[in-house]
Amino acid sequence: MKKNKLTFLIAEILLAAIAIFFASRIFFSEKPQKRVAVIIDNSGDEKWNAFVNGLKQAADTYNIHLIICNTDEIENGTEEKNLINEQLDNDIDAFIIQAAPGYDVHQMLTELADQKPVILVANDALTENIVENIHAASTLTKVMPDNYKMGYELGEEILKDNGASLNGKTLGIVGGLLETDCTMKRQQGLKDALADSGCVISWEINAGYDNNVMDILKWKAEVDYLAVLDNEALVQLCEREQSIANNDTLVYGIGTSIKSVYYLDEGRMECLVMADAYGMGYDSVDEIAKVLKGSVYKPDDHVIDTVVLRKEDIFTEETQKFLYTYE
Amino acid sequence: MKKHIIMTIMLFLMILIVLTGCGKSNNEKQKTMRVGVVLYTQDDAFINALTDCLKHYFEEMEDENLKIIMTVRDGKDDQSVQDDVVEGMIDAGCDVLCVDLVDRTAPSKIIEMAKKEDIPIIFFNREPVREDLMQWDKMYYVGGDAEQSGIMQGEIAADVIHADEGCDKNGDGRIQYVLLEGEAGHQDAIIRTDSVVKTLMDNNVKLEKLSYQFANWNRAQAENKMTQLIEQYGEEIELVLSNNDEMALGAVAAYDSMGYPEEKRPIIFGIDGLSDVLVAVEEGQIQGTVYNDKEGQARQMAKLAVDLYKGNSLTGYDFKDEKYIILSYKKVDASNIKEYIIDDTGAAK
Repeated sequence: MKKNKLTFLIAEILLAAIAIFFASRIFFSEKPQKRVAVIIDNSGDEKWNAFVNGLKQAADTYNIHLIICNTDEIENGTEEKNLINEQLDNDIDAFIIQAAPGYDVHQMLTELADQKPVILVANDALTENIVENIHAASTLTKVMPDNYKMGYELGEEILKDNGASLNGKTLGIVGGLLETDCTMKRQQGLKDALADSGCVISWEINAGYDNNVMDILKWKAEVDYLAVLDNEALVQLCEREQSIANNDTLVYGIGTSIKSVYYLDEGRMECLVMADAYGMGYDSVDEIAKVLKGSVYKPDDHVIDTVVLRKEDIFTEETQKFLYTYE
Repeated sequence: MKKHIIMTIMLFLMILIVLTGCGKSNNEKQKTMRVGVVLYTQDDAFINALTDCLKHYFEEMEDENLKIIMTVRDGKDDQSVQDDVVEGMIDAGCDVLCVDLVDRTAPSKIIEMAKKEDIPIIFFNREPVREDLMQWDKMYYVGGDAEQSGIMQGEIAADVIHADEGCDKNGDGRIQYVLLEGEAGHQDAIIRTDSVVKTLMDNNVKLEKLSYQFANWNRAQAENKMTQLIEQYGEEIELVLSNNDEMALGAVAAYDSMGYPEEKRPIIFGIDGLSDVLVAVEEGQIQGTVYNDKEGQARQMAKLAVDLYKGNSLTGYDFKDEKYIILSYKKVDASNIKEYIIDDTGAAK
């Protein structure tokens, strides 16, 4: 009888211990979500659609609370710093940032990286070293495409369409924002690809927040080829295609929006180079989640894939899979 | 001992002066106002033009004390997506919301979220149901009067028909027409359609409806639908009434792609006053449109948003029912088109 009582007591104690163990698992295993602020220019612009899709997908996977900051143009380091400071007051654990234009941004972001984990996307922070070496990069962690390669690939495509020789042909280049790493690298990549082709670069202009590319283009000499290295400028140009339809200028572009694909399909450009923006979003959160998980983890740079699209490629299964992320 | 006390008091006062001085310089810093603009879609040319105007007016209202950041997001024509977008914007920090609803009957979640965070909402373009708008005193609507746009479209069309007997191509005394409507069940589409037809009849134009098609305010869809209508009715169509300019341009594109000569085309009318349509009116491809005052609406929205942010008095506004700012439409046809066409210098031709 006594033995039965003892067995019952032990069983009760065991059951209580198990209950306490599971209860504690339920109540104490729910860690608060880490908060990651994303600072990119014109954050609502459709050029970020695929990137934001990637961010959100990874944030779901890693249980990260994403705060995509409400922004319009971020013209310089001071504006970017103000946005960062606001988020520092907003209990942010880490940052995903597109570096603003200017040589002073690198220092500011490096100081930030000493306080909080930082991943750079789309555009690296510009360093003075780039003047000596176009491949120079900041010491910050980067998840972005190889912008030099994108420019180079675009140049190669122009060459391909001309049997590798562009003797006597003229080219106009529409770059992105001045004093940005991605613009400089894309421009240099393009020029290097066309270096021995005999092509004459008639003029170069840069898109800006305050200038309309079409207004500037009106005053530029007609060219045989137009290389547009910035998504907004490319879309603007294709929207107003009639203003270049009077001549035989062929457009080659780097784009990051579904609109640019639409214009490729419409035949308003010959070729489009695109980055896997979804991958950039996903990988940046993936990397930051690892950093936030363990203090010993050293974040890695990721080079995002790029694709070269022609009109005839748009409806292939592979391209459609890629473009699905842009919807 | 006395010396010590005096020294301590002086030190305390100095610290106080320094601290209050710092406080003052902080107050003098430029304030940042964040405006979240959420569209029903980013594929509507009129809404995009209005958004550009809004951006322009916000930039004009910036000064050394106020920086305005306007973020535009897309509701992707899906109310639940728009709700999520608003939630994200509020989460990231937002002072005023400007919302063009996907579904005018379903703003509850947006209102609830904004009310919780005390963020004023200015609805525009798509008018919420009156009962919803009256729920909270920090909600407003800025837009046009849909009925007025339909009436004006009818009046322009009636004038053109009465002035040119050739509009009645088959000479049967009736005008055979087709309608390009916005969305099924959409309040503006219904009101514009009803009022334009009623106005034409009130102006002694005998009508015969051949068909109608919904083209979701969209140029490409309108081109497809119009192509089908042309294939079915051919030259029987004497009049195309479109609920907006984008669809009117779609109708023109359909006739262009089918190679119709100008003399065989019907008269076409739109609403909104988009720049492409103004050019088409000037060239005679479209006979008239009704100018939806996007500049006026954007100016009122920008001004209201800043006043709400600053907590200024709203006594200077021409509110209807303390909630509505309604701007008038204007008729545009061949007689006054030059007032609306802007040349490269930004001036009317």
